[in-house]
Amino acid sequence: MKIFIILLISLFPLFSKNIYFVQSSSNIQELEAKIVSQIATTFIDKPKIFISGAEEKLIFYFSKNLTIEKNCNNADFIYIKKGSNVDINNCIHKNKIIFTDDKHTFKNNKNIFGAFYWFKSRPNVKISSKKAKSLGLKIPEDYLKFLD
Amino acid sequence: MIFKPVLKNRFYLYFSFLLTILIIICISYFSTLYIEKNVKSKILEISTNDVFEIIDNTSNEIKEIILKNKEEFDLLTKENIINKKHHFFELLDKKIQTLKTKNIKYAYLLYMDKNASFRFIADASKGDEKAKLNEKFDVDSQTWIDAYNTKKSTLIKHDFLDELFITYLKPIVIEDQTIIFALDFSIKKIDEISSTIFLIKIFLISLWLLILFLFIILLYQTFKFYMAKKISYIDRLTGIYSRNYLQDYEMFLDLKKYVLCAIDVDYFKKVNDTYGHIVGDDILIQITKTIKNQIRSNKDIFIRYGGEEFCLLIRKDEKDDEFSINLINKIHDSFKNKQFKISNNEEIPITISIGVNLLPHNQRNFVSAFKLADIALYNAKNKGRNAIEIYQEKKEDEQFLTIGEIEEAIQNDMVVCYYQEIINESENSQTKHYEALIRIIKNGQIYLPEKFIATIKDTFIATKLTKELLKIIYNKLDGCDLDLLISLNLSPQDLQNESIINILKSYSKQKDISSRIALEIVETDEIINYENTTKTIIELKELGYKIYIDDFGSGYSNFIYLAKIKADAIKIDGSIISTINSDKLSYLVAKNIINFANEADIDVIAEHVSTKEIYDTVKALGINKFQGYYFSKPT
Repeated sequence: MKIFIILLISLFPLFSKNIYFVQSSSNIQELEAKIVSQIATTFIDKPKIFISGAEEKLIFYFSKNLTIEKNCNNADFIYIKKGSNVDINNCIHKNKIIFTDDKHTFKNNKNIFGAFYWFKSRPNVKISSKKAKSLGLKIPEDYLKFLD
Repeated sequence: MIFKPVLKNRFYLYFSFLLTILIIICISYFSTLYIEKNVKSKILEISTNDVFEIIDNTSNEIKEIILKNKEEFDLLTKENIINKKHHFFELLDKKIQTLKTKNIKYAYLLYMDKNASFRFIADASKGDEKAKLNEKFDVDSQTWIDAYNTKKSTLIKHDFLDELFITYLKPIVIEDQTIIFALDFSIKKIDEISSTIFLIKIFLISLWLLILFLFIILLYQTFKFYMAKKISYIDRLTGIYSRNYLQDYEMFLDLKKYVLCAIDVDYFKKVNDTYGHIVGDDILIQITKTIKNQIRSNKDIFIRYGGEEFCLLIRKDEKDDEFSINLINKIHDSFKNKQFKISNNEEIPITISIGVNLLPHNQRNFVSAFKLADIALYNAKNKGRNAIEIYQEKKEDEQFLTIGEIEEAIQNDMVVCYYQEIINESENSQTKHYEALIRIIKNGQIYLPEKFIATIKDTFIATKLTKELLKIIYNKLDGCDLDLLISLNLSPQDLQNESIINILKSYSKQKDISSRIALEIVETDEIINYENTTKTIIELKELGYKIYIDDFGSGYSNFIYLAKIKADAIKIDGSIISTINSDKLSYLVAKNIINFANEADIDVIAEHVSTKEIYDTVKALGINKFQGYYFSKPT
């Protein structure tokens, strides 16, 4: 009987719906946190991040790489999620790097440094060359392709 | 033996079992994966082929539309003005919108600007997903650029995107320019295929599980069968192989590699009857151990053939021709000074007789080969036991008859009786007395009992032969002179055989038959020690048969027994009579037997009286019944 149970368990992987064709669903939030954290650490050494309107899970993923700040005034990198209603006006004009996941916010707000969003089901990164200039940030060669 | 190591070592069994299951799991796992992969690819190919054809046709239409509006198109690609409105672009949007289905998530047209960036000309999407004219599109792999440069249709498989499955790129060449017609297939497509495959997979896995389940059951049953077989192969008392083992595996034995021995414990019935069966069993265990200590457990095969008889197959040593003989001697010698315990304080000596067939492979099968070892054993016992006797092929004219030949002779009435007169010199005797001596005629040649009796000993053929002998004698006596008396030899087995006793009983019911038959019985341990046999002899005597004790003085000379069964006569063993003039001991034995017989009022017959000198001596001792060549040969 024991052998039979072991056999059943060993055959269980075969019951999974997809073994070879499609990779298991990647964690979108984890990917998002990784990409944005990477961008933040590229421009700021040991950045402190304020995240506006994010779920706890996303904040958790960010906390793996960055220091989370609950007040935007203490942060040097601000990440604004789409639909966030947190008031960050106090922080906008303080030469902080502001990132968003909303393509339209990025297009329409000149204070936004960059955006990470999904377009045609693909991850997209955009960086505003004007804002980078005003912040005095030098864009690394690898990031030039993201300049808007 | 093939199965011996497997049965002996459980590790092999468990290892084979687990290995086979592992192989089945591996086969099932990889074959399912293989089937899944191939079926999926095939289904995908079938389901997308039509779409690709439609895309190719649409590409031609797009090309025509652009060619008609080439100036506008050239201007656009130079200006890079985002979100410019023009009916031409709206026309392209509408054209590709017709391709959007639940499986095609995105359809769009791209051109490459002077900075080698892809930009949108048209997009079938709506709302937020819709790209603006001239909006930049960041491609995620080099494959896009390769498709653009090579102008070949390309399929990109997305492993890391959640919503997209594949992207089909169709380059459209318009004069000196190339645009890319891109279609993103939704993951829904593969989900549908996966669902179908999943059902197939479930079926396959169920099938494999069923096969595995049946295999395990089969294996378990086989294992149980072999374990049961193994138990039946081992003799419970001695722990060595039983006869069952031999019956099942004798066909696998390569007799060329073995020397075959038949071993019998001497006077074992006496041990059993004297000390009881429990002691007898204990002695058998000790005997087995003694023999096992001499043989090689991994090469020689030791079998309890039945009762106190053993079969030993000694594996020949290629380097040492005399190894087998030496081992047999060693086994025999190991009994010489050994005492066997019958209780805590008492010990008895035990001896064994060994019959050896050095060339068992010369026989057709194991049974025939063992028969020859048994014949040798029979000879060893006849020579006084505690001996080794090697079977030797005789010359053609001395050849033993086979069981088949003997049976054939009985069926074809080729069993005959020769008669040798027993001379009675008593003054009043009118009776003519003969001993019936059985012969078999084959191909005109007459075979004496020593050429066939040993072969059929303890077989049903021996019973058949005795019945045939009785029939011949009955026919001889029926309608013959009443003063004719015929002796015949009966073996201990004959006296224990119900059908033979019944025949004798039926003869006794007829007038003047039993009174003219003398049954010559050899006095053996089998006769003396069995109460039933004694009863049978007494019963036969009461029915009118005369009882003669044959070969008296050769081995068991039990005077008490003689008185008990009230024998009519004793025949002094031929070996005593033939040496009566040359061996003082023979003379004294004969004299004492005659004295006892006279006292007990039992007739004495001297057989093997071959010369006048012997006749004179036995006559002088008081014998007046003689049998031998001096008087007549069997005719």
